Amino acid sequence: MTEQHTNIYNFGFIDEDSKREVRRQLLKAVALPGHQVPFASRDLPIGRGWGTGGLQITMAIIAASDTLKVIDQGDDESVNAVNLRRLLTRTTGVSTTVDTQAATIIQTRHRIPEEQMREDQILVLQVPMVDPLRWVEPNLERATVMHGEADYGRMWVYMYESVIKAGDIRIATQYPVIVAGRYMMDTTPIPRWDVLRLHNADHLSLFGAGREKRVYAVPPYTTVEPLEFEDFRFKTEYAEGQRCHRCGATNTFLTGHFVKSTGNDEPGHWVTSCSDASYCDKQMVAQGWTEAQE
Amino acid sequence: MGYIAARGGTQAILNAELLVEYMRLHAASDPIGIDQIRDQMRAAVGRAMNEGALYAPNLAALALKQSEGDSIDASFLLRAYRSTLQRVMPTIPARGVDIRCQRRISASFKDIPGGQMLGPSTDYQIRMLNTLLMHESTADVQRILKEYDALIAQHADTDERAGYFPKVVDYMRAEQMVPFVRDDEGAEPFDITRTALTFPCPRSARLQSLAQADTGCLLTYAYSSVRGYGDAHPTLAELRFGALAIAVTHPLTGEPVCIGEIVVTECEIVSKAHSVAHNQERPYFQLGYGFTFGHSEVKAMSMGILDSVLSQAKRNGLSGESGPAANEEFVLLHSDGIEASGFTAHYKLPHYVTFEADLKVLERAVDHVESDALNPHAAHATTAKERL
Amino acid sequence: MNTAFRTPTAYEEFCTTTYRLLLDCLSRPGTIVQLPSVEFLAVPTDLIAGSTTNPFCLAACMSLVDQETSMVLAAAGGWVAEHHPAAAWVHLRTNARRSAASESAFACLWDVASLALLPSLSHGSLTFPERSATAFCAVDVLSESGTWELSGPGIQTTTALGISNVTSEQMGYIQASRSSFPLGVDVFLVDATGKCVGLPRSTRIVRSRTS
Repeated sequence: MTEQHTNIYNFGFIDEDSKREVRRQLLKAVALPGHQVPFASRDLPIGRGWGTGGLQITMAIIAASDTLKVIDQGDDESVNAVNLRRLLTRTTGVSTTVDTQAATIIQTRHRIPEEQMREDQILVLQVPMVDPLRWVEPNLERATVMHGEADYGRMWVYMYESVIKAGDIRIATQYPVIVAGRYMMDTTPIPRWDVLRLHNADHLSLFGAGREKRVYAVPPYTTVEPLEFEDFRFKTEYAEGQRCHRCGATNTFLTGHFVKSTGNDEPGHWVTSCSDASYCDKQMVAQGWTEAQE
Repeated sequence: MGYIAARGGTQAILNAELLVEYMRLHAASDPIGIDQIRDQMRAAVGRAMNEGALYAPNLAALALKQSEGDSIDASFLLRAYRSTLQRVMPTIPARGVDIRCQRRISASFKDIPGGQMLGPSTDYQIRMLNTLLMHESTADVQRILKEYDALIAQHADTDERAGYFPKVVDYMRAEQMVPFVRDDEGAEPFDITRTALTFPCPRSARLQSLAQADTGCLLTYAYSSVRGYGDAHPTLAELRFGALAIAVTHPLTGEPVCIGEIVVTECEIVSKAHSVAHNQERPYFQLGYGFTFGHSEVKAMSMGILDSVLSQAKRNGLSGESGPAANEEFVLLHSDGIEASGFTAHYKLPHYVTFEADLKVLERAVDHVESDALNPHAAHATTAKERL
Repeated sequence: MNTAFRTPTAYEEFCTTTYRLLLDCLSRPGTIVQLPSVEFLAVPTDLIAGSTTNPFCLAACMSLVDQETSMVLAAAGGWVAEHHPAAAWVHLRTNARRSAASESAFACLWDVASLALLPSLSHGSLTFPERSATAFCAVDVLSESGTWELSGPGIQTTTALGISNVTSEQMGYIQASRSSFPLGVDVFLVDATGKCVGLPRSTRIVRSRTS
């Protein structure tokens, strides 16, 4: 987007009728926790699969008074987060933040912020694949009937077989959960570490899949139970003794990356650090670090 | 802060935009005018309008210029623009019989009421590169146009009904070869841009989906069905190309008002009648309908073939509902070029978090295999872990 | 950074503000929110003869409606006819589609007596439970203490709700609208001062043991 753009766009890009469509379906999603509600997804100037569902939710709910945080992989500076934030701020003018505590709306892909969210905050998750049953039933018409009848037997069989064959449930992210004791829901590609943090949360979580044209929701104080067996419990990625190379946190989700050498002889090495970059920075500052020292 | 890879995204994105612009202009050739694209790249403009689901030749030309001729990207630009337009009002249903044809053919009968009109077609052109076009000059263009003007003056048809023809399919209906359309879906057509597509879906939703689907994709499905992975035996009842007037109802007077013409391609496909249909219905040919903006005959025919295949599959008329092209959900959910390309391309986005989670599952699977001493795959598993 | 958008109109801003409140109170059943002023809409108080119009309730319902959806009105326990001046007033401002009550997406109930009409609204189907109505009902006074005890998603344990003028029989219609979850009708109650509470079909409502 360059200077030739004049003020031809509606506040929040999509027109008011399009917003209302998302709004109406989100209310139904809240009333039916975990149930996928079809909505007339609009085409956005962002690629399908790049966050158009989350974007439409944010566009439909955002007000000029909001403070927005956008993350991808937990990182505010990831290219996609930068790009989506750019579209939202150019079409709304809202202020943005990297601080989880300061945001009123947080749009995210693949992570839930490490800091606990409050009642007055809304988490908007971008969803690529909406239906957990797609692992076992790719046909939408049949899967819709299975959800309607709470007929989840085939999914349990799939889970059981993967425990027998792989020693663990093969689903790493998009881990299936049962919401409010009724609907099976795809948790989007958040790591298992984040799945438990949807359970009885203080905040409202809204899920948007633009290409798949579905929204769903987990209201606050709603049970979110990962599928598990009595003799094979749900396990997160947490490993005993794990530690962020950077801030030293021992209770966060870590990702691995390569660190270039500072001298000439050493080839560089792999380390793990918090995927929630602003949380990691906050910890560093609390420990007295400054950017220059680093 | 050197610790987090791939941060500092803002500057990278801005630089990427500059580089894209540079790639388009770097050879310093004359910039292409929008009018040149619109008038001389008619096929590309038509395709962008079809798949972008917006009839706007100038904007389609602009989109093609901006996307350097990438058909999916051009239609993506148009679709995204369409989302910003408030819907004003629906047009009055237009009828194919009202197309002022420049071309109109049927493969079903040698002679048809009104006659065959080959019109502007490359069908019988020998596909040899025309090297004269390498050095086409403005003077050449003017000379050729002058010759056409003379021809037009000589042969101009003064009849104002020239170009209007009866529909072949109306004759077929009168002769009970194809059924009259059963209006079992109510008068109001489904609109996939206003209501999410769910399955089973009405035929109007199917036709709208197919109309904005990727041309190459429809061609593949239609071809698979006629080649052998299906049971389609199409015959072209009629294909027409021309101009179609569009009207709306005046909000105050209630009278129809013409708001312009669009250039369109329309086709009807009939497919072979199959063994006696169930519940003693009279057997008919199955009718399939194709319609596109601009001059897009391959897309219109692919759409017509798929419509007839899907209609038959729905009525269990196809033996064994065979082939992927007979699966309505499969065809409609995978044929949108913008959705398909967007999602395929999204794997370029960072997936550090999901990959880290996948790694954990892999490590546990490796441990599981190794812990089983009798497992013959244990050796391979060790190698996999070493690669980590 | 360059921005490229036009300033929202007063009505658009009203719709957004109202929506956030509706979303919040539907997510936290029993939590009472204060809807914004609706003076700019100039809702005539005598839209339906013999019934007082609650402008907060009507405006909140209208804020969700446009040409893609339908809305019906009810007062004194009966549906308002399609061509009644009140329906025309709403239609002119929303472009809402007209439809039978049983197919309508939204219903605005002028009074608690009209709660008796809830059973005739669409409750959705097992495969598409969201194809069900949302009802807005005007009540006298809402309070966060009182006769009714709520539980379900959005509520930590239980929460209390007081509605000054609803009889047990009238409440029974709301209770019945969630007796076959996931089918049901979602309800917003709006009092005369614009206080609003959301009762999604997932909320269980019982008479409080302490009252």
